[in-house]
Order: sequence, then C-alpha cells, then structure tokens
Amino acid sequence: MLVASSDDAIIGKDYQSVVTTWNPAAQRLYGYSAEEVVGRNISFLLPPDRLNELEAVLGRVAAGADAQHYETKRVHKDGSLIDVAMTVSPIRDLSGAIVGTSTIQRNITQRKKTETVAAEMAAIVDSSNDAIIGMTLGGLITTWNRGAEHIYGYTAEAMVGKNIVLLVPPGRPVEIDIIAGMLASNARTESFETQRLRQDGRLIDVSLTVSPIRDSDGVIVGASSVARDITEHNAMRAELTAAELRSVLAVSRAKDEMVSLVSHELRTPLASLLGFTELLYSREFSEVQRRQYLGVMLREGRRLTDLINDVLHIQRLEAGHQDLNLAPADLEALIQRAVNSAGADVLRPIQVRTSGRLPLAMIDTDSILQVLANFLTNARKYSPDGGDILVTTNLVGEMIAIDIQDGGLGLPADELPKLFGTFYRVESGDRRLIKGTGLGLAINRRIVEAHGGEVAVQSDGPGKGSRFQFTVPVAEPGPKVADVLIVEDDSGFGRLLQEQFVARGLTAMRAADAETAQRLLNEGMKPRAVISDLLLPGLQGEEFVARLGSESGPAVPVVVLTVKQLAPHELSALEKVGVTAVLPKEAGATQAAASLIADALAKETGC
Amino acid sequence: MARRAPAPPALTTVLIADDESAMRLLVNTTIESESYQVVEAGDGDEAWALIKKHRPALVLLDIQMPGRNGLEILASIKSDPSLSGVHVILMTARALESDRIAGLAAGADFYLTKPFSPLELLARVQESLGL
Repeated sequence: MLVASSDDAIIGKDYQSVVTTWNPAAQRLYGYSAEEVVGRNISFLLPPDRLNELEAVLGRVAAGADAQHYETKRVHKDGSLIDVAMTVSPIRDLSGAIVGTSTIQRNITQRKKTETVAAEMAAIVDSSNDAIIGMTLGGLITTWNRGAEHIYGYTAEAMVGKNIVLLVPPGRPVEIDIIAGMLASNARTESFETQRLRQDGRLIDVSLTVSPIRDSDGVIVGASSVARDITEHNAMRAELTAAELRSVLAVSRAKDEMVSLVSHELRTPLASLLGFTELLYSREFSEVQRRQYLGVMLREGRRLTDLINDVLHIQRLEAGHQDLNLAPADLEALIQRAVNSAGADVLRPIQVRTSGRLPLAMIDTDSILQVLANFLTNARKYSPDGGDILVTTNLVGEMIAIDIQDGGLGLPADELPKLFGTFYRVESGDRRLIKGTGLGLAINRRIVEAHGGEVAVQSDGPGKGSRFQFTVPVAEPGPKVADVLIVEDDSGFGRLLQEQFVARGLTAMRAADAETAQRLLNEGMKPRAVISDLLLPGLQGEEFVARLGSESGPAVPVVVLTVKQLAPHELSALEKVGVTAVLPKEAGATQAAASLIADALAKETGC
Repeated sequence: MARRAPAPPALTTVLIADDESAMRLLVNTTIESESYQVVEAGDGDEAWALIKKHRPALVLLDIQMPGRNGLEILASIKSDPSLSGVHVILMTARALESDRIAGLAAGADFYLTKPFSPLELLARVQESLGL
C-alpha cells in the first residue's frame, strides 16, 4: 500500500483536526504509534509558539486554496524540535465539500543544519579580503566571492562560467594544472607566490593556495583558488631592501674612503722615512746632508706618530669610548693654560678677553684643553703672515661659548660646512705648505659634541681670517657637596685618589687646578678635607693651601701630595699654613693619603 | 755611469712634481746626476707650467696634489703632440690596484707606490731616459 510504504509521514485529519490516519513513516518521524494518536487532536505535535499555525493553514484550505507547502517545526514524542516540510491538501467528499486534510510531512532537520552551515560559510567566504574562486576541473569558474571582485576587478556575474585562464598571465601556472599535478603526485597543497592579471590589465603579485574540491564520495570534481594580493607588501619589501642596501653601501663606502685616506696619510711620511733610511744606508753623504736628511726623518716620524694618535683618538671617539671625566672647572684658568702651552709667538700673539665672572663649566679638562690647543694651533698655523689671535668667552644660557678669532688665511664660504669632517683639508695654493692630518677639527667636533656642545666656524672669505666657536655646558649652580676636595691636574692620578676615597666610604670631587678649587670653596663648598698637589698648571699648590686657612673658615685636614723634593724650610712653611701632612707621590701614595684622611675624619666624627 | 746615447738638449730636464717637500728632497737626492737637470714643482698648476716651459724628458708625478692632479696632467701631456716624447712615472700613496691600472692605462711608463725604494726609483728613471 502506497501510504504505508511511503518514506514521508502521511497524516489524515478530519475537519476538527482529529487524527484519522497515521502511517509508519509518521511513527518514525514523531515517535508515536498510530494507536497512540488516532482519535487525538493534532495540536499535540505543535510547539507552543505555533498553535495558531494550524488554524491559519486550515483557513486558507477552507477558502479554496490548493495544497499548502511550508516549512515549520514540530515536537517529537521525546520533546525535541524537528524541522519539517509540510504539504497540506484538503480531503473532499463526493459533493466536493471539505471534510478533512491530509498532510505529507518530511524531516528536514539535517537539511536545515546543512543550510545554516553553508550560509555561514558563504558569509565567511564572501566577507574575506582574499579572492576565493571555485572552478570545475576544466577551469570553468563556479563561484566568485567579493574579495575576488576587489582583487581582480571583475564582478561575479562577469566571471561565473568563464575560464580561470583569463586571470593567468603567460608563463604562470594555472590552477587546474596544479590540481592535475597534485593528483598525479599525491602532493599536499602549499601556497606560493605568483602573478595574476587584473581586469584593468595590471599585473598583481599574489600568494596563491590551490586546493581540490571533492564531492560527497571523495572524488575530485574541481578546484578552489585562494589568492591574496601581496603587490603592496612586495613593493614595501623591495623598497626596504633597497634602503638597507643603500645604507650598507654608504657605510662601506665611508669605510673605504677612511681606509684609503688613512692609507694615503700613512704612506706619505713613511715614504720619506724609509726612502732616506735606504739612501743613508747605501750611499755616502756629507755631514751637512746627513743632518738634513735625519732632520726630515725625525719630522716625518713625528708626523706619523701624531697621525696614528689622532686616528686612534678619533676611532675611540667614534666608537663612543671617550671616557669623559666631567667635573666643574674654571674655564678662564683652562684657557690661560692652553695659551701658556701654545708658547710665545711675537708675530701671532694670543689675547684672552673673558666676560667677567663665568660660572664653572662642567667639562673633562684634559679633552677641552686639547680642543683649545687644536684651535689655537690652527689659528697660528693658518696665519702665515702673522696677526693677533683673540680668545673670547660668553655665557649663552646654560652654555659657555668660546671664540677663537684669527686674522689669517680665512676660508671660502663653500668650505665651511665641510671643515669639521674627518681628513678634510682645504686645498688652495696658500695652504699647501701648511701640514696637517685633517683630523684636528674632526676630533674637536667629536669632543665638544660628547660634552653636549656644538662647534661652528665663520669666515668673511679668503684673506679675512676665521672665527671658530665651541660651546660647553655650565655646571649646576650652588655649592658642591663632597667629603674631600682633590686638587690634581693629572686626571689619571686624580681618578685613582677618588677611587681610594670611595672605597673608604667617602665622596670626593676633583678640581683640575687650584683656580677651580678656589672657585668651588668660594661658592660654598664645605669639604671635610683637602688633598692637593703642589705643581699645578696655574696657581701653585703652596699658594693655594696658604690661602685655605683664611678662606675655608674652620681648619680641615689638608694633605699635600707631591713629587717635589722639599727643603726643610719649605716643609716648615707648609706646616705653618696648616698642612696636616706632606706625602711623596710614589707607589702606594694614593692609599696612604686616603687612609690618613679617612682616619682623621673618623676621629673627628668619633668626638 | 756613462750615457749610452746623447739626448737632445731640450730633453735633458727631469721634473719632480709633489706637494710634499720631504718627497721632493728625497727624489731629488736619489736621482741627482750630471746627465740631466732637475726642476721641482710643488703643485699641479706649477708642474704643468714647468712642463710646458722645459718640455722635460721625464716627469716624476705625484697624483694627489693641490691644483691639477697628476692624472689630469698625465692626460694633458698625452694629448699634446708637442709633448709626445715626455716620459711619465707616477708616484703615489694611492695603493689600490684600480689606481695603478688607471695610471698605466693613461699612458704612464711606470707606477711607484709610496713608500718605494729610492734604488728602484733610480733604476726606473734611468730606464725611462735610456741611460
């Protein structure tokens, strides 16, 4: 019998919606047997929120409508909701009057689930920025998402049904060939970079992943192609690589230039040294000639030494290894020291004009002394016809500016920016007899910049002299605080002393000259002890310690450390002005001096 | 040493062009001879003026000099028909192979890298002058 053997549930109802027939498929669908339901109102199958549904459908059927098809939900005997597809048809009597309904019902729960998943998948595919294309094994496009529209420029309407080869530039792999290759070799899918052709004819770089599409039996029926546009990414990468390459090349070129320059500068004095050595060794010369050649050799040997020192110095500065020993310093005293070391030159006298009381500068005295010496040497060197050299100082905010002005050869404007470069030398006829390594100003710039200052140069042009300027920071205003004041011009020895005090739990500050030490005391520093050298660059140690008694108020221990062999009357003179001890500068002197002072201070606090 | 062939009077000059006075002294002392007179130039422009004036048989030419550099002077010599017999030995502290090749390609007889042996310099000078 047809109804009994049907896969679909077939349920007959009378006009009152009472179940009259219930086939085996209905039992399979809802879990109830015919005995259980025949004679009951069908409403037991309806979910509570769909109770009105029956009436509405019956209404339409009564109004003469044909079979009603719809999808809805029903309640299984076990209480679970199932999706069903309904076809409701009227049952008429011989007169044509409707006496009931028959419904054919099919379980569509599984189909509904699949549909939901498929809809979600479609939404994901559609919203992806990647171009996702489905195709048959022959390459005919079956699906085309929005990402594909964006990346390739074609709409789905334009492309579905077209062949994928439209997108493939000559010589590039086609998706379906890749799939064929995968079938042959059983290989897995991997993404790879290739190119594709846009609608506008532009080639784009894509990262492509090709995968087979299988039907429910696992048979490969097509291919999917997922492409990501990496044109921009590749362009950025290419640009970055080019930039990296340029910077590597620039560094390597700079290094080559440096090596070439150093090599040239080293070979030139070596050529004279070795050449004359060989001549003196192989030939006889008069005493006058011999002395002349030896003089040249000595000069060139010294030049070579200077050059090596300068190159090493600049190397150290460039590597950032310059160990600045920053301490407050009296700049005027330091300038005077530099002028004194420059020596007398009647044709090129150096005048110093300072702007009254400058604050203490925060500098490494040895380094700044070298900067000053380099500028002063240059000023004289490039004034072959003589002329006054003027050094001036000015306070500019938190910096002190030092100017060195000469009336020498001067500089053309286009040379000024290059002047502080490594190995840079101005080439002009009036300078060719003036020797130099081209490193002095480069060293100056690095030292000054390491202090946080700046270098500058001005010239009104050739023959109008030059003016070099550099700036250094001022020390924090106000009294400095330290247990021990060390007055020592040798920075190495000063540092050793400082370490000895630190090891004994005391703080120490070094002044590189007596002038600085006096300034520190005048500004209110109250050290608990003073240790001083006697041989100092400006004001001598004897004079400094003699003034201590009157200037520092209550007496503090004062220790003198000196290499000087003092006569008895000199010793007694020191004792008279209140020096606690005089120690010779010899091995172990720093420990001895530090211990002496530490003991004295311990006793003091013990009282 | 005896002269193998008498040179014409106009070609008995050797010019030393170097901006380093120590180098000029060294070279002058090394090649000093009764066979020719030696003149010195301290920069490229002076060197070119003296070459035009003396038309020397040989120029000992430094490359890096103020004014015209040695390679420029070499090119000027080679392109001037009146200087066709002038020999050139380059003396330079530029030690790169490429510099050497450039110098020889430009027509120098020889290329000496500083520091060089004075005895080798003397041998090269005598060779160039055919002494």
